[in-house]
Amino acid sequence: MADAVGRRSTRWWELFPERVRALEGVGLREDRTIRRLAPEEIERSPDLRAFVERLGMEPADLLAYMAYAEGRFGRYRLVALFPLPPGVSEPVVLCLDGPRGGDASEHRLGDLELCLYYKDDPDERRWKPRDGLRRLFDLARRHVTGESIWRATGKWPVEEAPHGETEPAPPDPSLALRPLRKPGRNEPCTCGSGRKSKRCCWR
Amino acid sequence: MNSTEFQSVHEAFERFENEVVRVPKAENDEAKRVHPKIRGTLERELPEHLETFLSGSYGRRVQAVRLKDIDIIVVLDDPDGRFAASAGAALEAIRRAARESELVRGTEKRKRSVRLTLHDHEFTVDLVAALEPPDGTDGLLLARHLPEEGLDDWTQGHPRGQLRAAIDKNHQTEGIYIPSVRLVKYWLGSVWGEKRPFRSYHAESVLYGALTERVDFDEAMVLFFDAAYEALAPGVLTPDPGAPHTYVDERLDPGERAEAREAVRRAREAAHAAYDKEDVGEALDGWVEVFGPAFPAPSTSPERVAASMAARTAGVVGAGIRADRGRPVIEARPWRTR
Repeated sequence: MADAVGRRSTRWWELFPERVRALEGVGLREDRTIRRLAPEEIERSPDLRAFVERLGMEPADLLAYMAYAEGRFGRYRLVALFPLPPGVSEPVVLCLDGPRGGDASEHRLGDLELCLYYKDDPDERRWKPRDGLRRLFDLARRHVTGESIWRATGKWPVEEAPHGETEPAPPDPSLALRPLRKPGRNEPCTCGSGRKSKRCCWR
Repeated sequence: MNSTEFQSVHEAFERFENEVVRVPKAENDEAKRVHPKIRGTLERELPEHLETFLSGSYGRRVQAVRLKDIDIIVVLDDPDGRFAASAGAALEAIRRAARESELVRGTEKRKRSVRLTLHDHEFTVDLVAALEPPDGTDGLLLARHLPEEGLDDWTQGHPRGQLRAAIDKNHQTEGIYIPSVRLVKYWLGSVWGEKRPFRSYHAESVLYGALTERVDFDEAMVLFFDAAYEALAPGVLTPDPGAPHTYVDERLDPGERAEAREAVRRAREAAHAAYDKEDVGEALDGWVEVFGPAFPAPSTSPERVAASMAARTAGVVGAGIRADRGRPVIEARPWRTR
């Protein structure tokens, strides 16, 4: 993976387009607020620029997507970054808007990065590459909603792994979500609208 | 009956518009600090500078949620016809002058403007090159620089007329029009994010035609969705409020028109259902169907959403968590860092 001048290329997504397709899955159709970020958009944002510089990468080398999270807190921009293929390293999800760091919640890594799950927890409690982008952003939406509730009430509304050394949660197969697939025409749309898929996103 | 903190639906819309939809004051303050400095640089460094004025959605005060760009029209003097012969030459002169500003990190020549990226701000500044029409006709000549298509000329535009139209309509509706445009733009973002088949200025122009007097915000939204459904019908064209005899959607692709109309149809149904509710709380919950969970309604209160998340009955609809339904979410345990 070295270019003509010997620089090590980090554009894994050019070499493994099938992994990108699997990642995007049906999510981009069902959630039109998700979109791939262009290098100039990364360049324009001081926060994203700083993050990319810390990774030692160029904006054009990074696979990045943006989506919204909405709630009483307003509309925040979420950015998922994939410096390496999903499965090789974990994606990084940033929240660009709203309070930062400890003012946002106790579940931040630095100012912007969301701590979405405990890495040793069982599969059903963590995002995996086969879950795709939409479930990653949904997880982040749940997270920033949890943060806003914590700021309003002082309580984290769902389970959390405590500080420091942590035992993994016991396996709970009932929490496993079904793999994402295109729904049947008369099935409820998986965007959550409650309408039949043929009258909603899969029209 | 739903309990709610609001006495009226209009009051809830006011809160929503103020706290969620409107660009935050800090961001606006930054913009107010930046654009005079850029304009000052042009005045100093660009010998052909005649006049600059704010334009676009920032100029009309209709940007929603966050500030994306500031459009500045740069009217140039062109006594020897050098710029009239080449829009690219005008853009290059503007670019060279703008580079002298300490705020500017990068410059990029585009079709009509020079886009400035800034060191410390995410929003961009677009400097649109303009000439006064030599025959004194209405409007301004705006640059059209598309070298790959062999185009390097000027086309007529009406940025002053568009600004005037927005101010006049806001006055006519006693201050309802401009915040209503922001509400409509928030709705566009909820449905499509940034890439919209129903363009922002098209929607703004539809609302311009739909509002003729002061009404409450919920009625303004119903009027907008009714008018948009008609305006997006095949073959119907929407006039540009600021430019006589021109239409904003002449080049709208039929597929995009149909997609936009379908989304408007759904929102229109939901808006009418919400508007027809007698109970304020039920009406507000109805408006959540249109604007998503950022709308202040009983169903989006932190307590109710928290209880639902704890009971694992919450789901995601659109871009937010809903207490009562939605697609399932991974029940992760985040790791507390402190």
